[in-house]
Amino acid sequence: MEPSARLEQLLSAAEIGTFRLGDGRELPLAAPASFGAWSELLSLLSRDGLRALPLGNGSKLERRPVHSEIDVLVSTRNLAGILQYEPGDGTVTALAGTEWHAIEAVVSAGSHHLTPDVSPAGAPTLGGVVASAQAGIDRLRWGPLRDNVLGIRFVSGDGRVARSGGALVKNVTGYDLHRLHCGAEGSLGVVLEASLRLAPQPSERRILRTRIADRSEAWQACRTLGRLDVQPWTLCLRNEDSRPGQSPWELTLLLAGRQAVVDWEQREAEAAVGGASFEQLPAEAYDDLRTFADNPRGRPALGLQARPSQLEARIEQALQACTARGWRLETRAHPRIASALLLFEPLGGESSFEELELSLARIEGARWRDLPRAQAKNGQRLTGPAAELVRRLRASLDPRGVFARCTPHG
Amino acid sequence: MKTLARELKAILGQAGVIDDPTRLVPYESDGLALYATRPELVLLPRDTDQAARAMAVLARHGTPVVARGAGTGLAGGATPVENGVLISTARMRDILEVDPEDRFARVQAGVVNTQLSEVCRGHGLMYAPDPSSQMACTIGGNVANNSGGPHCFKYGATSRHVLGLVLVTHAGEVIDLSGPWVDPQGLDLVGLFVGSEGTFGLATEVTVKLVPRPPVVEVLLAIFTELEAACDAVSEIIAARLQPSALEILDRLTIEAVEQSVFAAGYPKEAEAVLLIELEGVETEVSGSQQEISAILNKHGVLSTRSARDASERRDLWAGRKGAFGAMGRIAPDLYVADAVVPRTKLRALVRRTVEICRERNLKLANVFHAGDGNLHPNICYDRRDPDEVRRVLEAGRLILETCVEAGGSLTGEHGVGLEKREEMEIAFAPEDLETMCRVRDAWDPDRRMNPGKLLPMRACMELRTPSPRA
Repeated sequence: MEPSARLEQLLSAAEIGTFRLGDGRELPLAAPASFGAWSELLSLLSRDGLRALPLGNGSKLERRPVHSEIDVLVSTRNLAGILQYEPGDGTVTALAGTEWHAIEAVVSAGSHHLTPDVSPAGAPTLGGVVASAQAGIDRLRWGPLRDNVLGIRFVSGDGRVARSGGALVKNVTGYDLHRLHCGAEGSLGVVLEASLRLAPQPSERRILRTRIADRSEAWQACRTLGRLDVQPWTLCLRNEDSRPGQSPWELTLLLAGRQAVVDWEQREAEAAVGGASFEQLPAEAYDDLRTFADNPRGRPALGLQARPSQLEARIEQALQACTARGWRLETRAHPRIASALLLFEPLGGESSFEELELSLARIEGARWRDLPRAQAKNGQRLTGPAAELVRRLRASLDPRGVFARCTPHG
Repeated sequence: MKTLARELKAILGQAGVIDDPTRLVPYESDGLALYATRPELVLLPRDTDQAARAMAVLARHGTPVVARGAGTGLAGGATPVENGVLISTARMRDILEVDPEDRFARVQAGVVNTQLSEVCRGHGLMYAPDPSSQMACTIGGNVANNSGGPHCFKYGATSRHVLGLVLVTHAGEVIDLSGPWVDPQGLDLVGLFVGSEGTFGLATEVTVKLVPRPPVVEVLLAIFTELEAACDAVSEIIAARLQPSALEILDRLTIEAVEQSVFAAGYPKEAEAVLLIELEGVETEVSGSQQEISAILNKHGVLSTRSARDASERRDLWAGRKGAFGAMGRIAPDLYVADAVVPRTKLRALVRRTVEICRERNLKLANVFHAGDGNLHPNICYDRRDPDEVRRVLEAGRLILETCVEAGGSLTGEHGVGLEKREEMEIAFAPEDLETMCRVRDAWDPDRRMNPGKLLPMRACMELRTPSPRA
């Protein structure tokens, strides 16, 4: 029986539909509206040997190529709503299909800041942000997402609905399965609900920017700022065009907190970078800053991670490769977090992207994203006993491989 | 066992294997003396290689293994098991690397918590998690229990500070996840391992994040005539989105015990409760927070508030707090330390209920707890030679946990489940949750030889009917 026919037997009309992928394929989509229906759906997929790809609103599908063997998309879009927001405790629990920015609107009315502060592009859902361990513009101050997920409820590949952690800021009861699911991209199960730690909403937010022509001076300024007692929410560097003289390095600092503290931090920052004049941007610039990790034109992109002291050298390697092969490089870096997004654009020369790619693949810590075959290019990094452990972990949560072959970690 | 000891001595040397029964006695219990089992052997590897080779031998013999750091755990997580072997990290005490520029350190698992912060002091850095036992407890033990401490209110527990691990599996294989990585390379195996209480394997090396020491630190001592008023003040500080680095409450019995001990800190003996508040950051931040907090304390009827005069008094105030568990030996020979967590909006009601539960059973209760995190430590002082008192203590302990879980809380905030709260896991979790945890445990240790009988209730794992993931 066709997958769509099987879904019709199990779910109501409002819970099934179709979804057209970027490559033109139209696949059946199941969006159960209750935990019980999710359990039954996964049990059915497991029994029938069908392959599923979990998603929320599909905001990350462009950077997440869909495997050719996929049978059905399973979406949390019908599981929406905030279950508990406790302003006095600084925690929120919501169903996975709740749009991230809907949660943000509610908690900000209660003077809380929802972290990570991610781009609104594509209307990401709570489940999608958790499953992809999406980073926000505030990561330097509030840490990675996995530090702020307090608990989840999830459905495993065989239909078992289970819980880990809870809506408590401190809790070591049982295994932290929620940490395992953060960033697993749905390869171990579908996150149905999550509880998050909230940060205080700052009374003042200030975006400062300076432009520095020389690359090494720009990186030196970041190192200097990193040694201060200043606690910025963001310290990022952007260079739009790697070719000499084409584009300065933009150093952006987001300061937030009490006004008196932000004033003090601004003075410290200005004094430390030796007279570089910071321009204070209007409040609306914050929306632009949130899109720092977006790649709207779908250019080939490389994510880089390194020790903070090594990031500049890694980017320099990429820059040299681009210069030698006639490609333009856009750099967006978080020097203190030690991560960067590199975006590539051809200059119309002879060199193919495949040639450039060969050089870039040698950069330590490089990880492709936003490419049709990013998963295959990144390859399997773990070997030996670690790889065997991962295989057993997958088998423990998804014994029939409903998700395993359809997700980036599969 | 003699054959096993001989094989292990060939790897670890004579000094690396304890088999003399009289020398095994100190290893019978950890900090929870209610449970005691003598291990067959104690192994003391010096490094990952020795640990891995020893574990491979133990795997071949099918011997159960319990890992132990300093034995300061309060939940029986390092209690040996029948016919089992204890692996101690006591000879793995090297600090392998400190990188002040990139702010991380790589250490062997047996490094003592405070030793690491002391080594980093010269660089203006520190290792943030600070359990009360930090003078003795090890980084490996902290990893196993996802340990906390007063300053975890600001900095978070151990899992937020571990950047990488080197692990030895049940079979004696080495998994190098030492990083340090900004994000996991694939699944977050490190994050999952932290807090697994020795049931997944043995951590031999740990890469941790170091944080800058704050430029300004202020410690406030707020004195209350009612414990519940102190709880209310904490709830309001949290609700006001203020972020001190620590918020700790000590009640009257705790204050009396501390002030009679070597940890005497100058807490006023007439107080029903003191609230210890630490603020840190830049001067502007600290002074702004102090003003707002003072207003909240006044609103809740604080008798008086004073700031520590200098670093020496700050140290004393903290020494009193961290020595509180030890000081309670003055009240009774034994101490039952509960470790429940509650939503921070419910502190008053649940502290009141714990007091009632103990009063109803004629038990002496001393409260000292991480109020800012909602992490209660109702400490019941008792004498284990009195069987009826032991019965009442255990009954009260279980009732306190049930009450906290019913109110939306959990069984443990930092001590772990261990042996002590194993069966109470069925209060906190549904059978499906526990079965899922059992499956994950079996993925790490299909033979179930790593710290068997800990963390997960026996019934939940016995009923696991699905085939092993090895199949």
